[in-house]
Amino acid sequence: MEEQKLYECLGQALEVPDVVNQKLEQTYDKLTRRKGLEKPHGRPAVRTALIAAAAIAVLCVTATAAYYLVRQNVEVDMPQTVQGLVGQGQPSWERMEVYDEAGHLIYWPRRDMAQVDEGQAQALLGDCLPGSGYRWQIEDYSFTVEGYVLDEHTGTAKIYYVVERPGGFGADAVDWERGFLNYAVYKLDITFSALSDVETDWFGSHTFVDVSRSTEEKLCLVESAARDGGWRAEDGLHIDFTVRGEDGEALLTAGLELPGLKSLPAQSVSDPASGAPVLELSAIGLALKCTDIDQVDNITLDFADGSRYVVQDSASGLDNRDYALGTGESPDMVLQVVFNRLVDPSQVTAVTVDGQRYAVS
Amino acid sequence: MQALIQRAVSGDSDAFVTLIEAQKVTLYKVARSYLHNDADAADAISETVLACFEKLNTLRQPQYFRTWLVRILIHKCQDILQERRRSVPLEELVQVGYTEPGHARVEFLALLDSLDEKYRTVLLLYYGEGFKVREIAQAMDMKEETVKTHLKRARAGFKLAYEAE
Repeated sequence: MEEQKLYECLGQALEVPDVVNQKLEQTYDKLTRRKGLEKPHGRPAVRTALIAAAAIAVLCVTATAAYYLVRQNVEVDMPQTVQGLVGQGQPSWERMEVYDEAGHLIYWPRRDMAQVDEGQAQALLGDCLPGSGYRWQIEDYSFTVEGYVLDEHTGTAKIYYVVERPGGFGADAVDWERGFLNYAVYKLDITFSALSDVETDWFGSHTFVDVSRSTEEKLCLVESAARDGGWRAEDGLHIDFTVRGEDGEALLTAGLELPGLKSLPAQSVSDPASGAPVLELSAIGLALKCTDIDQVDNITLDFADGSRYVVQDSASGLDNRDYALGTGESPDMVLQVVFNRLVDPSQVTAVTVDGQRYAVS
Repeated sequence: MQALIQRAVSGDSDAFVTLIEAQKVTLYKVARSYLHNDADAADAISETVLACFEKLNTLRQPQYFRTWLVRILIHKCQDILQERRRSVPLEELVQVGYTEPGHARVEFLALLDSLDEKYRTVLLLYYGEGFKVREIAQAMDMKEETVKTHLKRARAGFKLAYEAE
């Protein structure tokens, strides 16, 4: 009986007092005047930016009209982002060669991650990072690019972004042991391309999960990307954010943009025999001219302190590349490699490719 | 409602006003479960509407708009309560723009006043506004178990008061 009383009394319709109605009317007027919103006349008003430095993107939704997204500037913990960009939170693993139930070979080369020196990372990347993170809200996805670095000399890039969604991305969307996405379950397709006016603008890339920061509902991801063709860092990047259905069909696509940045610097290394430039080397990657990218089995960087970074060694089953892209046709090919760690080019004394040593001055 | 929210996000002021007007009674009831007079409730609702307008594009699931809105309101009410405790003794508060309340409002406010302050809003959201336990937990930053405990104790407390009348 008493519960019924609660329902009846607390649930009844009430007349809202005049003071509340008056205050609300004032608030509505304030909003409309301040933001310059117009009453619609049969078509939707374009929203003016409510936050600083907003940029408009277009979201295309099948079966409904397009509407506009606003890019928000957001504060991020940039030192944490920088560490994530250069490998913090990604696991190492031993070489593995096993056969699954169907008899297919599953092969993982060994991967060694290096400790991230925060001070070194800031020193090498700091000038080339954006001033803030950028966030978009796309349906129930919150997409934040926390930081990115672009190197137009080697044609490589690293982007650190966070995708959040209540309820997560599906069971087993992430291989937490290796920091990989399971694309059979993970239905987001986020691709990057250069905004420069070049022949081929989209980047090839690989995505790693920062397992130290990620949860089921919040994935912190590092995109290691490469694209040849002369794109420029100052032109910025375009992002295609696509949600796919069970059959891979695009359910939703948003086109977003990231502002341009200052390019990372790179060191040019020449062939000692010919004197012609043979590779570009930066803090995040290299671009190597070669006759055939499939014939490149070993790349090693030697440092002034005597240490060594073995980028890849096929013979021992070691692969410390975040991503590699080969372009061109033999004998004029270019191999672009994104490192799985941060490199200080000023400390590199030599790059050795399949036994051929190139001194770095 | 989702269509209204989408239109509001893209700048349709009419859609935004429609959204808020549809929730006005809920907002008033919740505000009054925290605050002791209509003027403060009006302030809390006004600030909530402003905050909602600024942040509408961050709402991840439009179907939880009402829960999200109430959550903002609760925070605004708590801010006002804290401010009032710091600045003005409760008995000095003056109701501005007071008008004679209708019978329904009198009965509602009387019942609210009879409920333990700690459980008042939980009871209101559950019985008055049809919120589920999970939605109340989200709106009030509580664990679901805590909400259930509050409901149980509040019902027990109300039963005693009701039987005593």
